[in-house]
Amino acid sequence: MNASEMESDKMERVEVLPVLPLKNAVLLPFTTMPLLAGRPASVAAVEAALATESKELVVVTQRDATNDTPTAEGFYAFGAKAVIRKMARGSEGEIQLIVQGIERVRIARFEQTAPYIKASVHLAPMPEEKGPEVEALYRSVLDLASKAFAIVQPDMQVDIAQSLPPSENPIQHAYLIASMLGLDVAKDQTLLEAPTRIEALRLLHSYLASEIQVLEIRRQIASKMETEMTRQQREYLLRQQLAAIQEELGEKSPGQSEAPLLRQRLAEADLPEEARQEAERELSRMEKLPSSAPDYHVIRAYLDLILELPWRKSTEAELDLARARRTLDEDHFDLKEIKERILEHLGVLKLNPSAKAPILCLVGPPGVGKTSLGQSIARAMGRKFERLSLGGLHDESELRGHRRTYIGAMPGRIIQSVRRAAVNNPVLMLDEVDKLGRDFRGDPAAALLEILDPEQNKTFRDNYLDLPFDLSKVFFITTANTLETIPQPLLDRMELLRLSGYSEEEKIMIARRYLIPRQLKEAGLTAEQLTITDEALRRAISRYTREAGLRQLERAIGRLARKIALRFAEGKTEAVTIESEDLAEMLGPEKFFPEQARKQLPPGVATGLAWTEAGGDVLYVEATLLPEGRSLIITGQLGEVMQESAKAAQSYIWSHADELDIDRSLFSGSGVHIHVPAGAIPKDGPSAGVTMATALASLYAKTPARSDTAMTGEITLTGLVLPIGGVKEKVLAARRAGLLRVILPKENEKDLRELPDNVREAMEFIFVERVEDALSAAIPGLVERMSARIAA
Amino acid sequence: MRWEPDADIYRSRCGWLVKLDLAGVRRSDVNVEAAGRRLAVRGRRRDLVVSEDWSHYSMEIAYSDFERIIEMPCDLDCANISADLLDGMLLIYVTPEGEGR
Repeated sequence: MNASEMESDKMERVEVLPVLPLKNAVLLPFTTMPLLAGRPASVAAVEAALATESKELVVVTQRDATNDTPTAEGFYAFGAKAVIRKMARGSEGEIQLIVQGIERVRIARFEQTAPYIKASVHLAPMPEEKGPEVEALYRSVLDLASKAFAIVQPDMQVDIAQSLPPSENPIQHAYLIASMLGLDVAKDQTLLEAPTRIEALRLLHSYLASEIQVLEIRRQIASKMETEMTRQQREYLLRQQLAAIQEELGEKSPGQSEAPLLRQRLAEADLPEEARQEAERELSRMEKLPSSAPDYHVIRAYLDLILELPWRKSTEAELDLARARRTLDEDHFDLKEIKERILEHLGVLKLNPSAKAPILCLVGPPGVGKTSLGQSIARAMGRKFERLSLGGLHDESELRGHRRTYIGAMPGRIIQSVRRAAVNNPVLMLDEVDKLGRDFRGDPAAALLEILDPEQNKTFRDNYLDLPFDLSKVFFITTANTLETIPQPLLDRMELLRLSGYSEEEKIMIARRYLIPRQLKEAGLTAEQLTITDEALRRAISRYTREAGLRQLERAIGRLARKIALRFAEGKTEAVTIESEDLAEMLGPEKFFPEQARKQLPPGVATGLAWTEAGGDVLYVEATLLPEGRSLIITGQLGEVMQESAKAAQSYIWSHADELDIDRSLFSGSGVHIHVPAGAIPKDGPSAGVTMATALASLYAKTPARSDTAMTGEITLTGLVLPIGGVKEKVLAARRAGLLRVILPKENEKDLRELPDNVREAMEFIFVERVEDALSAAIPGLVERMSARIAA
Repeated sequence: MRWEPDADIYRSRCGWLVKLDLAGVRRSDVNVEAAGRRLAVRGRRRDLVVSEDWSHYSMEIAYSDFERIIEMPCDLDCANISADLLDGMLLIYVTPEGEGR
């Protein structure tokens, strides 16, 4: 009997066997499967099979897994003839069994349905096909299977072809592979019903391909999760080690205790909603960081700032005007006008607390008390005082801060000052606003525009803070020595208060009231131990200092006090009085020689007055004829305006030569040289016009001007005298030099109010509207001649 | 799919002895075939206890068709092969031609 005959024999064979219905699974021939028979029909079928010599039955899959008593239509047409390999009974009557598929069968007819299903079946093995196509399909199925198992168990380097039992029949391997894949019922059943080997292998091939895709994706997901896990585990592990090391070193990680503390502070702080949200966001970021992370400290510093800023905290304004006036008077001598202005503002604030705080700009020479006046204002208002110097500041981010992304970023100076003040309505003094720099890093003056604008600074946004902060309650005071360098838009926003220099009398008063007591205290002396006479003070002011303010004077007094303190420390007991003569011994030789009034003036010289940042000064205009010369030479570092003013003076004198009784031949026969000492100091401005005209008139008329008379004023070609600035400083300078007669433009008469009464009384002022008036007041000889001519 | 009986293989100076564990198998149900080097033993074990009174409580013995194919180290086509069933063991003597003489 050869093989093909056996096959055909089988094909015809019909067997009647008990049927074991299967749910959710398909038994493939050549494969083994553990089963549990629980349904009475199933148990009965198994019993029937066991009762035979060969233990054979048919395993067929139900179409509907939920149906416990399926009918003939409830089964697939193909099943597997199987043999029971092992069995055991359970306590509930169910039977556990291991069945092994033997051969594919097609159900021909159901013979009975009770007590168990019995069917007659045809053995339906696949026709034996061989050929290149079967072989090729078989190999690629094996390839795919190896691939699939490599994915499932990458560690096991097992060749699937070797692990399968040797067999001539590729379908046997196909069934085994399929059973290992765990396919769903429909697929298994389709495979079982495949009419030919090629078809079966094709089916399996497509199942394997899709299975590999699924496995691949699952592996990717798994490996992704695994890397995620390992990364977290690694970090956790390192953290634990770090903590252990820190503990070992005695450095308890502060991170754990800090975050809850900050959270508590945050809960207690009175913050605007926007700030609170931002703070909470940052805090929760911080909690996730280890305390060693660089960002941790950045966030910490930021949170500290938010928590410490006085978002809503302000000093209750106690606007007692009488007290404010008293405070201002206590701190500063005189300065009547300024105190009045400050009190006016306070008065407004009292009536209308929501009024915008003014922005004051105190302008004046160094040492006149601008800064201390700011402090005094704060004291009078009962507010906190903060000051920051803008001198040399050239980086916009100094004011506005750096964005937090930069390493070492800090809030700007404004926010820092407010934080220091700890209230949102301090008096904030911006010193030296005229000395702001500017370069490629931006223009701080432009940033100041925003800060100092009450409309904009309600929502001032510091780059570091990155939250709007209300600066509108801050009382800004700026100081400057000069207005020239302040940009116009910035100047517009401020209310100017000028502090001029002090007169000698004022200085003496201030020294008596403030400087001497302060320096005595500093040196550890009592008022009884040291007395300084007025003469000595006057001498110290005029010979040892030259300033509009009081710094040098205070230093000189300090030196005196220390010298006396040394004497007391060495054992001296009786009180000391410093006289004017003692100064040379104690302070050294005199340092300054005031431009003393020249006793006699030759023709061509006139006394002028100049305004400088350090106060006023006396200057002389010298003019001389240059025989044979032609031109007008002007020297002495004069600016353009002053040169033009010299030319105007010359033109006026020439054009009025007749009235002044001047020999016209002098004009054509010789040139003129005008010089203004001291030659090394640059000078500019139109206010020397009157002086130049006087010098020229004196020169051409060959009549000397009065040596006791100083003059100032701008002139026009038609001979008008225009007003000038800095009257107080100029008059004080004249007085210092011993010039008690001063010629001033008529319109400057009102400025005399600034002068102390004693000065005003001691001096003689001549107010002029026209150059002729000035000339006649300055050059005595001219008057007679002029009147003579007019009479003639 | 058939079950496979366990087998021992002995050798002696004059040949080979293959012993298969076939307890409970009737002599008439065993078929030995030899071709080339391949020795195939096929057959069927029937359950002896098939009666109304006895039913299985548990089962571990494999019944039904078995098949064991053994690749022998010698050529079988020109060998003398004899088989005997003794005490439940199938003994197959293989004596290659020439060696036995």
